[in-house]
This record gives sequence, structure tokens and C-alpha cells, in this order.
Amino acid sequence: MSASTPPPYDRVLDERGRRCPMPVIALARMTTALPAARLLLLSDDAAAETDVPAWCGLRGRTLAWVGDAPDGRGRAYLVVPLEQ
Amino acid sequence: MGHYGRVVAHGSDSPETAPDQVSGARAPAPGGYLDAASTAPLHPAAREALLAALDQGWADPARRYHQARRARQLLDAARESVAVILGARPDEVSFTTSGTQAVGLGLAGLVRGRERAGHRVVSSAVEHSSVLHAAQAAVGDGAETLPVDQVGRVDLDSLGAVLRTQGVALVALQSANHEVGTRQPVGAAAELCAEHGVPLLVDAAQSVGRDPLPDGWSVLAASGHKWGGPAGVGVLAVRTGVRWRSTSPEGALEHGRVPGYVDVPAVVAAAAALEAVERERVAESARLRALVDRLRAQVPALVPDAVVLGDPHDRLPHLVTFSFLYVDGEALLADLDRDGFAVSSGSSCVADSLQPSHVLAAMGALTHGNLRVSLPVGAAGADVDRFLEVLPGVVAGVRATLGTEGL
Repeated sequence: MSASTPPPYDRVLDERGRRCPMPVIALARMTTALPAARLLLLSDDAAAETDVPAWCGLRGRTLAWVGDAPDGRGRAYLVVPLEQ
Repeated sequence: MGHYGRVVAHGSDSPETAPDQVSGARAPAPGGYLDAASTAPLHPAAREALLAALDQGWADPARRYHQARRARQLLDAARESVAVILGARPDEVSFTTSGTQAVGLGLAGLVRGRERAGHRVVSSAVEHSSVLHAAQAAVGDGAETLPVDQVGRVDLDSLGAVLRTQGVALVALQSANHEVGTRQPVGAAAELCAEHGVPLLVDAAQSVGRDPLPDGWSVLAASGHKWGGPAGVGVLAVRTGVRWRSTSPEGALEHGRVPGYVDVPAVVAAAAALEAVERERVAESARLRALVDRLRAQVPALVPDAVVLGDPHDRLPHLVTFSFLYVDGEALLADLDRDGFAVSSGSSCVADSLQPSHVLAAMGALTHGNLRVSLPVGAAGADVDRFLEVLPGVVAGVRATLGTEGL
């Protein structure tokens, strides 16, 4: 898996090594704490590929970008407030 | 009662196989068993028929003595009765050792019969894994999938587009989805396939005995244990005139389509179960549909952040699937089991592969906290009531453990 560079973000949430539903719960927690932040979730859980966009739909967030994690381990999901 | 049931029941000396008991039997629904889409409990009619056929149908039906003729008679009667229910001719119907084998032989035989047309096998992305694996085994990279919408229904425009390209050996489409219950547009797909002269394989495993069967198939596969027969019986039906060539070694039985000796008593039992469920199908499906309607309406009202999956109307009568946000599917199943409910889940934590269900992924549905409820024939309304009483507390308990309040 190759590394890639995500667009600008405010916080990183490294949930690698944790399985569903934990990465999505961690994403929800940080979104509640920092509603305006651009969050970069790192996850190597196969379910995140489907569950992060599904959660964004349920909670009114935008999945702005998906790619490989900056260091190449797992995937990165940039989740931002709806209006961005 | 069909002619097949009479053959077995009248031939038996055992009081347990009295005809009125067979015909009057209703499938038992063990309390709390809500996973009929995985397998159904053995139908009482199948149990009676199996016991009788073990005594009367044990001989090799290919031989020329009276025990063999008896076995042949039972096998022929079972075939005729299954054929009528599937809308097929008896010589189109072969019994296999499983639904998976029926899919595998059916698909490989079409690929072989269509060698000159091409090596691409096109299926919906939400087929049962047996279809996807059979396609992969038969043509490797030639296996292609079509997208589905949010309720899991295949995109017919994509099918039309792929059929206008070259090299499609066959299309495979399920009658209805095994995880979310959505019916597939088999009739429309069959018309498109027919326009292009491409055969259509239909996996009808979830519909037989439950829902009207689609027409227009070239090859149809089904599985006996899903409708209350014993495990180890599948059905492969090949329409007359379809270019299908056996991939089995010489000497295959069942009209040359299936390798190996036929388990006559099991086939007889599966046919008896199918006759029994088919007799009550219309009324029973209407009853179960109302129970599922209640689940579909009540669960989101009782449980916060519950997503109901699949088409609300154009669906199997007995099956519904939910995803609960911030819930661990494995914990959900364990807690429901503790409360006496057997259900299944497409969540990755429940799968041996640790991959989420390919069906849920193709639909873009939430895969965690996933729960499939599939009602067996004869399921009690009281079971559904109790499930609705228990479920909100179970989901809240799992969420409390994970500390997800207010998220």
C-alpha cells in the first residue's frame, strides 16, 4: 500500500488496530468534542471503508477525501462539517 | 396432498406416517429461532417421509429388481412434485448434494456450453457467495459484478450496458437477496438477456417455498434445507434447449448433470417438505409479511439510531435486516442468544474472514451492529412480540458498554 498526502486537516485520529464499531465511535466522540474540526481518521479495519461514509450520511458530515494513510499503513478518511 | 406424499405414506406400516398426520403437519418453529434464512428446522412432513423412505427407498434406483423399482418410483415422484412447484419439466430437474453444488454445476455447465460466445460471467454484486465463488472458479478475471442501489437491487441499466458488449457467457441473478430480502427484477433481467441471447442463472434459494418464483431463467438453483428439507439436497434445473454442457466426468447421474450416487430418502424428504410448505405458502407468507411489517415499523420506533435495510415492499415476506449505530454485532448476537433468540449478522466481527458482508458494502449500508431476522414457517407472533420487548434493552446494553450515549 502506498502512502499519499491528504488535504489539510486539524486533528488526526489513529484508530489502527481497532475493529468495528470502535473507529466509528472514536470518530463520533471527537466530532462531538470538536464539531468544527477537520478530522483525519486512520483505520485498517475493513468495515471502515463502508461504515465511515454510512456514518457521515447518518450524522450529516462530509467525507471529503479517502486515501492511503500518510505512512502507508491503512486508510485515511477526512471527515469535515457538512458546509465545508 | 400431492401424489408424492401418498406414495410414501400409504406404503408405510408405521403409525407415525399416517397420511393425515403428514398432511396436517405444520412446521414447528422452535421458540426464538429467527434465522430461517440460514437453515430451516426439519419440517415434520420431511421427517415422516425420510423415515418411510429410509425403509422403502434405500436401494439403487438404477437397478432392475423390485427394491430398486421402489426407490426409482419414489425418486421420480419427488422429481415430478419439485418440478411442478418450480415451474419446470421433470427432465429439467436434477437433484444435487447441496445448493452450492447446484450453483457450481449450473454455472460451470453454462460457461462450458457457451465457450464460443465468451468467458465473462456477469452477476449482481450482492449474489450469495456460492455464486461469486463459482464464477471466480469458472472464469477467474472474467467474473464481473453489477452495482446495486441502496436497497440492494441490481441496476438494470448497467446490465443492459454490459449485455451490449461482447463475450458475456451468462448472467447470474438471485431471485431475492439473502441478507436484506430485496427481490431482484428477474423478469426484466430475463427479457434483457433473451434479447441478447445470453442465458440467465437464477439462484432461487431464498424464494422457493416462500415467494412466487420468477420466470425466464435458463438455469435455476435451490437448496432443500432452506425450505425445511434435510441438509444435503440441492436442486439444479436446466431449461430444455439451453446450451449447457456438463463439467462432470462421464457417467454422471440425474440426467447426466450431477456426479455421484443420489440420496433417495433425503430427496424424498426434501420434496415432501416442499409440497407441505408450498400448500400453505400464500397464506403463511401473508401472515409472516405482516409480522415483518411490524418489525420494520416498530424497531426504529423503539430503538434509537436503527437503520432498516432492504426494500420495504418488494421483498421476501419473512426476512428483515437492521443496522444499529455504535453497536458491536458480535455482542448483539451473544446477548440476544442469552435471551433465547437465534439471529445472524453481516457485521465483520461475526465473520470468520473479519470482512464485512459484501452485500451491505455494495449497498453502502452501515455494516456494524447488523442484525438479520428471518422467520421460519410457522413462526409465532408471540415470538415477534417478545423480540420487540427484548431488543431495545439489548441494544441499549451494548451501547452502554461502549459508552456511546449522546454521540
